[in-house]
Amino acid sequence: MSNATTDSAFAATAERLAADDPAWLAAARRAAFAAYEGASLPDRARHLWRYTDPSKLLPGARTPGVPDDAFGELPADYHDGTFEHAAGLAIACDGRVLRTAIDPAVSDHGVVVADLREAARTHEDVVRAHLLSLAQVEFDKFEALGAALFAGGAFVHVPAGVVLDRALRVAHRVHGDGVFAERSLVVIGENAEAEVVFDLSTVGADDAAMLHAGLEVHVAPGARCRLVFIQTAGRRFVHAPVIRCRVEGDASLETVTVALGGALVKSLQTTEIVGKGATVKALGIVFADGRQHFDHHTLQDHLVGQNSSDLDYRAVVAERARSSYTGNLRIGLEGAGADAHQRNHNLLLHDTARADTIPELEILTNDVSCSHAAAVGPLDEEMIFFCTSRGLSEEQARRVIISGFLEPVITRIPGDDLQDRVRTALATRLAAVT
Amino acid sequence: MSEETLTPILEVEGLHVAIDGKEILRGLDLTVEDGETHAIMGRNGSGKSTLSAAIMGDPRYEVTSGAIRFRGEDVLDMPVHERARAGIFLSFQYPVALPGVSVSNFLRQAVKAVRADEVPTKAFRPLVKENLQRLDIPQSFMTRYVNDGFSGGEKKRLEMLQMLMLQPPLAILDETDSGLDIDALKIVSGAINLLRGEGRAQLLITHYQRILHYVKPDKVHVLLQGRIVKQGGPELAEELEQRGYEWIESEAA
Repeated sequence: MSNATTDSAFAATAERLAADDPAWLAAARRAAFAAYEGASLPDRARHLWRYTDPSKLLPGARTPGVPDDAFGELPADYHDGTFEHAAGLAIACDGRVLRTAIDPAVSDHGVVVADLREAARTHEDVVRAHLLSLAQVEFDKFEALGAALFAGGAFVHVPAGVVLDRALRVAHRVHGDGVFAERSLVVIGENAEAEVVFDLSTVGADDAAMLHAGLEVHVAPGARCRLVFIQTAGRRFVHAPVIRCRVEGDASLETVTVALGGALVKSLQTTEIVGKGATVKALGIVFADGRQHFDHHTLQDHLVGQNSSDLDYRAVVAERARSSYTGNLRIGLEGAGADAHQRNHNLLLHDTARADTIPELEILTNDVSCSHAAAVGPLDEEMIFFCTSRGLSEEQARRVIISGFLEPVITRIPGDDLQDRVRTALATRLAAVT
Repeated sequence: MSEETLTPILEVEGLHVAIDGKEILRGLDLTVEDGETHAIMGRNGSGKSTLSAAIMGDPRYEVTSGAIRFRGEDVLDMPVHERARAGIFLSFQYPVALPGVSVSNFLRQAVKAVRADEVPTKAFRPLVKENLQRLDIPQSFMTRYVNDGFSGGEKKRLEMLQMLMLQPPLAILDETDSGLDIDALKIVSGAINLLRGEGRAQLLITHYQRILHYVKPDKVHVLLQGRIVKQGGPELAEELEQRGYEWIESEAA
C-alpha cells in the first residue's frame, strides 16, 4: 500500500518536474498529482478490476526511479545509420527520449519526432492543443499518477497530407526497480498516413521497474495510422499503459499489440470514434507463461455511426500464467449504422494456466451490426493429429499450431526485421513451454 | 505367379477398434502385398474411416485387440509421427484447417520430418513446383494458410500435394474422391497412379466405384459391420455398382 513517506517522495518528483515545465503543463501536472492523491483505489468489485489487485500498481515500497542514459543494446538491425527500416527514430530510456534521428526527406515535410516535454516548448501549439485532452485524469487514479510523474516520452507529429512510406520507431528501455512514468502523444494530420512502432523493453532481464505509461493518439479526418506496441520486457517488470485514441471521420486506425514480457501488465486502451466512415482495427497477442499476469481492457466507443470497428485479441497462456481480457463495445445514441465486431481467443497450454474473457456490448441505438466471440480452450486434438500424421512430432505440431494462431497478428507489424524479432522471441518462449 | 518373397506392406489381423466405448471394427483381417492397390468399399457407417484412422493412429480410436503391421513391423505402439516417418500416409476425408500456418511452411516441415535424407533443402522448391504443375495447383496456394477457407476440391488437391511431396510407401486415401468434379477426379487419380509400383501400396477407401475407373485396384474388399465380408478383383466393384450392397448383406447374414 502507499504510505506517506513514499507519496511525499513522489510529490517531490512531480514538483521537480513541474519546475521545468511551461506554466500550463506544470499546472496540469500538479492537478494530476492532486487527482492521484485524492482518488481512492478502484473497487475490486468493479468488473475492470476483478482480475487484478489495483494495489499492485501503486508505488508501494518502491521509490521514484532515477532516470539513466544506460540504454542497453538496440537490436543490431534497428538503426544502421540509414533510414531503410524507419523514416525516423526516437531512443528513449526510463521515460525520456535521449535522442532522435529522422530522415531529412521526411523532416522537410514537417514531420516531428521529439521528446514530449521539449516539444511542449518547441511545438507548443500542437502539443498544448492535444496533450491530456483524451486522458481521464480525474477518473483514473493510475492515469493520474502517470500524468503527474512523466519524465518525458515521444511526441510524433505528421502534418496534414504527409504520407510516410516507412514507419517511425520509438525504442524505449527501462532499468532498475523504481517507478517510472512516460507520456507520449501522436498527432496525425488530415489525410496524412503514418505507422509508429513503440518497442518497449527493460535494459536487463532482471530489471523490476514499474512503468506508468500514457499515450494519446489523434487521427484527423481522412488520415491513416497504424500503431504497433511490442513489449518484450524482463519477467519482473510491471507495466501499466493507458492508451487513449480519437479517430475522426473517414480516418483509419489500426493498433497491433504484442505483449510478451513483464510480471504484471494492466493495460487500458480506449478509442473514441467520432466521425462517419472511420475504420478502427485493434489486434493483439499475449504470450504468458511462468506466473505472468496480463489484464487487457479495450473500449471501442462509437460516438457516431456509419463507421466500423474490428477487434481481435489472442492469448496463449501456459504454466501458471493468467490472461484476462475485457472488451467493451459501446454504440452511442447517435451510433446508427455502426459495424462493430470483437473476438478474443485464448489457448491454454496447461491445466494450471488460466484465461478470462469478458466481452461486453453496450448498444444504445438500433440499426447496428455487432458481434462478439470469445473462446478459451486447449489446443485442438484434431489439428495435432493432422500435423503428426505428416511426420511432425507432437511437440512440433503444438508449436506449429500455436505459432499459426499468433501469425495473422504478427504479419501486421511493419518491417520484416521486427516481425522476425517477434517470431524469434515467441519461438524461444514456445520451446520452453511445449 | 511369381514366388512371394516380399513382406506385405500392410497386414491387419483380427482388428477390433472402438470409439467412445462403442466397437466399430470387429475382427478385421486384411493383407496388402507390395506393389498392390486395394479398394475398401462399404456403406457409410461400415467402419471404413475407422480402419484408416486406426492404421494412422488417431488417438480418439482405441484398438482393443488385434495387430497392424507395416512392412512386418507392429505399429500399434508407435506414436502417429513415427508411423508417418516410417512411411504411412493418410489422405483425410475432411482435412482440418491450420489457420496462420502457410502451405509452404507446413510442407517444408513435413518433408523435413519424413524425407530429410532424400530431399535436401535446395531440392524442395523445384519439387514443389513440379508437383504443383502435376496437380494443376496455382503457386499462390503456397502462401495461403493450410486448408483455411479452402473449397472441398482444393482441400483434396492439397492432400494430394502432401502425398506427392512425401512419397509414402503406404498411402491410405479416405474418400479422396468424394465431392470432386470430373476434372479434379482425374487429377487426383493421376496422382495416386504416380505412386503405384514396387515398394509401395495404396488403400482406397470409398463408397463409390467411380474413382476405380481411373485407379484400377488389384483387389476389392467389402466392409460390413466392422468386418470384411467379401473380397474379389475389380469386377466386384462393378457388381456392387450394379447390384448395391443388399445382396452382400443377405449373403453375410
